[in-house]
Amino acid sequence: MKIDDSTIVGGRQILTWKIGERLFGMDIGHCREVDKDKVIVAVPHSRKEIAGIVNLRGDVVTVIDLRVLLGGEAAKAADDQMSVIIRLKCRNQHVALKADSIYDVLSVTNDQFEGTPAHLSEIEARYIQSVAMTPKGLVVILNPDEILRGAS
Amino acid sequence: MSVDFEGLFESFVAESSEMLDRAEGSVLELEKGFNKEVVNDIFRAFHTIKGDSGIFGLQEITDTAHALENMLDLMRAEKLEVSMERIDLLLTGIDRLRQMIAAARVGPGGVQLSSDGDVKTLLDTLHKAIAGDRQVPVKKPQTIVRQNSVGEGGSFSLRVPKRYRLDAEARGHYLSLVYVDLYAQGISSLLEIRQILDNLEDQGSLLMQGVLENMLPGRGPGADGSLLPYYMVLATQGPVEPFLEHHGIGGKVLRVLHTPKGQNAVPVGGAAVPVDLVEDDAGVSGEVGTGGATPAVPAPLLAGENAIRDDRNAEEGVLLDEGRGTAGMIVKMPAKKTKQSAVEAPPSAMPPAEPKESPSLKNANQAIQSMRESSSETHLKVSVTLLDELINLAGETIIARNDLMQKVERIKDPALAVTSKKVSYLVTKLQESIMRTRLQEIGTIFQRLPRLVRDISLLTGKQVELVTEGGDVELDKTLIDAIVDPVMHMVRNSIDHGIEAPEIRIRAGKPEKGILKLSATLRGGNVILRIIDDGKGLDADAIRNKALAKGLITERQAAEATNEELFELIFEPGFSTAETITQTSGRGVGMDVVRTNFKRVGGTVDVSSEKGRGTTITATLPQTLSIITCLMVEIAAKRYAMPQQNIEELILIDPEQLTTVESHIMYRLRGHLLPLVKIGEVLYPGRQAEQEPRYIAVVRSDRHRFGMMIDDIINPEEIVVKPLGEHFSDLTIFSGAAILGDGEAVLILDIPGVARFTNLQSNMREDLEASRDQAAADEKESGYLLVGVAGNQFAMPVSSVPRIEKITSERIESFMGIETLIFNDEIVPLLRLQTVYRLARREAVGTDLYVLIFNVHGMRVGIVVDSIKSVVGSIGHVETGAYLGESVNGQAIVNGEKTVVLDVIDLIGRMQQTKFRELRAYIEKGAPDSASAMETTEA
Repeated sequence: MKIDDSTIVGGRQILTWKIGERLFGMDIGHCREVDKDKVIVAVPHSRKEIAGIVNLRGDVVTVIDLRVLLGGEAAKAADDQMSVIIRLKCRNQHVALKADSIYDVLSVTNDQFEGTPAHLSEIEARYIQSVAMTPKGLVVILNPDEILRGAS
Repeated sequence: MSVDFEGLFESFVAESSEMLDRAEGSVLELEKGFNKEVVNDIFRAFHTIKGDSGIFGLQEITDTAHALENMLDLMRAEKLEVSMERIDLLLTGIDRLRQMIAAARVGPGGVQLSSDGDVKTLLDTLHKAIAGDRQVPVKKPQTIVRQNSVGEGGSFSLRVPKRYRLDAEARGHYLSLVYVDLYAQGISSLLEIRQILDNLEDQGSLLMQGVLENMLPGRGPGADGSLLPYYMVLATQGPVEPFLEHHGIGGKVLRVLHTPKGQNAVPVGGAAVPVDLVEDDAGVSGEVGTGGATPAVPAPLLAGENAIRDDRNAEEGVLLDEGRGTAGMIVKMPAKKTKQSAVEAPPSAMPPAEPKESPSLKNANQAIQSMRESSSETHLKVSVTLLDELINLAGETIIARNDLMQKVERIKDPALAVTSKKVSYLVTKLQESIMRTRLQEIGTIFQRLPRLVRDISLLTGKQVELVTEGGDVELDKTLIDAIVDPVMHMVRNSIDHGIEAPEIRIRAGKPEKGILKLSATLRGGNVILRIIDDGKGLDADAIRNKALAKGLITERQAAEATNEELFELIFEPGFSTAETITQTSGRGVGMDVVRTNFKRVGGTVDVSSEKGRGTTITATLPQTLSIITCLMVEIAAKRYAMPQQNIEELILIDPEQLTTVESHIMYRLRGHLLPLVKIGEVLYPGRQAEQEPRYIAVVRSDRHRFGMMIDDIINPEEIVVKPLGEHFSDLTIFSGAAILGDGEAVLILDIPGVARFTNLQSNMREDLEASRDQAAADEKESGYLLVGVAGNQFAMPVSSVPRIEKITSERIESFMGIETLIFNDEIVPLLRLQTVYRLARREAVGTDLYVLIFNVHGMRVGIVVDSIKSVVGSIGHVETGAYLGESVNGQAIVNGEKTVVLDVIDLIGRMQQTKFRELRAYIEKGAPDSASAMETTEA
């Protein structure tokens, strides 16, 4: 599905997805599209946080495994895993994030945002922009620039 | 939409850039010697830029180009000498023009320049440079006063010098202000505009011109949708309208500024275009124009704002050659009156109105002719965006074609098969042709080199001759763009680090001038680019030491590496360091970036060198981007693509021919041994293979020929190569990825990358195994060597003693204040444990001694002991409580004796840092004859 960015006054639209039981999200303005049922081809000898490459509309897109990037272990799954991929907007790179499933587009008002929690590990603190307490639960908002840069 | 105005502006930018590049080349030629033709070429370039920039009102560019043009004019007339200084000035001028053109932008107020004071400085310098030689005092140019942009109420304020009217009066001419939408005339190219304006100026009719900014679409209330609204102040002998018709200009007369006596005022039939005319007194009296208009003349309407006077009028202007006007081409400036002539002759002398000297006119016509020819029918200018689109379409078509062919194959229909094959063939041909549209000569890169070489040579004081070959070899434009910077960097490197200073070269028996040669050749579908210098070559030892120091290689690798392997190290990131940064080579851009850049477009870079003779860098590139033929193979149950160009042959494995030589697996092929790579294991180490590979693909990279053991061969395919992202930049085994007909992404193996990777791997593996054995040995406590020193017993782990040498004490020599032993032509410093641990004095001369020779951190060190007692399996409990000394692990009771357990490696390491440091440095520098230096022993 392609994403429209529409802004609401006094808040932001956050695209959210699930990894395990946690809800992650990013400002929808940074997301380009979401794809399902794509085969990610693993690249031998690449960095551990790289899940592989995938074909998105004719582009070879690098898929980052968020679980690993945030200091965890890669999910155990069959080789040809069909995952949800969130492609990011980036002018000179083709990058996407791998998630278990897409959750929703949430309208988060400014007062729902909180700063970065103090208990984050160093790795997490780098990639996490803020947290939002929404009616649907706690959403960890990611920092797109750090994610793009960090994986380089 | 103002697209076309911007389109014209883009043309201007593109054409000017080209012209400046050519001019630069010509200036460099001029440096070699005066040549009137060359001077002419340069002159024309500046002249054209001057004219074109005027169309867009880019005053600073016009002024700069004008000043440069004048300088060239004088040189052309041999009235000004071509000196080194002036060459530099010309080059600086070219640079400055480039910068200004790049900074010019189409914006709301028309075309703007973000100007800075540098232009003024440059102009001053130019003026001084010219004026210095001339006897005639510098004159002020009658520059067009810069009109300001839309004033309040959306009108345009125009200052017309009063003398135009006075001239017209004196000569009985009509003076009119005309408005033309050049675009509506069907005029769509700069060339055409130029031609028309040239024509008019030649006849002395066009006095002022410019863009009516308030009439540009969307820019002012006066806008009427015209796309190139232009105004002209014309002086004509007859009424202006027929004149306009005659010249094919559909203009509207806005204002008649002067009608000759006796003629009826021509009714103004033009639409009401808001233009405010202000008559200006500048230049009326012929004096050097100072500021401040005399508001004596009744002006029709005063503009809401004051027109911005050009301050430069007040300064020393550009020298003009009197009596000739400018070169007689595009005379942007009206009446070229010098101070004298203005005083001597009444303002009626209007040089542009008089017939030009024939050489000038001839030049003008010739210039127009050559302009016409160069832009005529053999070539077409096409936007790069359109070409990119074509490439993408071609790529997608190929993918779809591949998919289609697969499906057709499953349908066994002969008629369908024939037609689809035809279509397939056409698609391939189409794609090839489209690829060719993007081909550009590599000479475009070569063109930029003379300037670079010259600048760096001057900077470094080296003398370099640049030779280029094969500039007509063609490459896809994207590739050329991608390699320009790396090539320039390598050229810089060659001059900076390769070619020696003239004195050094002479001493080495080489010619004073170093030669730097760039050659491009086409081989298969690849372009081979070579950068060859006859400088001092790469120093393998220096590289080895630097790599060791940086921890890029282990000592073992350092000891065993061949020169080629050492040279490869310059491509390691982190290799180029502060020591190699010079002013020219810059920092942080090393050969690793060069290689990555080439790799990114599917190419390779390799280096070979001979110390003292020179270095050659060889880069290969595919000629076209995107599409290559690959063989799809199966490795470890996954699909991979192998570029066809690297594959020599395919072999079905005969297990009998498999053999192992020194733990390397090989295949006997036609009497030769082919090294094999189990690529499945390389890609997926630790994987349990379900089946053994059935085929070998014999591949070749530049240096290596080997066989890749693959599970299965699928089929050949033409694939569209897509680069892997930056996240994979340090991955050498893949050169890119492709998208197959079924939509799946597949990785493309990089054969040279695999070769390099497996070499490293095998080295690493051996080291790993060795150290694992070592660790195992240590763990098992496989034994200790017990030695006696000055009546004390020491224990050292057996695994750490490579050699025991029995000597007499006479063999111990003193060198640099240290006791040493010459062992196998090496200087081995010696350690006496009694000295280290302050034990009793040593033995008498003549007694046999034992030296335990260790190799630690790449340096041999010997420990002198009195006796070797025995080797024991274990030493029991080691007490670590009391501190006994440095590098001592503890104390134990072995064979009933108190024994000090030594950490030999640590001890020696420490000594190398302290006591042996100087000696080590000395040894590393490779002293010619180590054994010759003798000193009286201090011991």
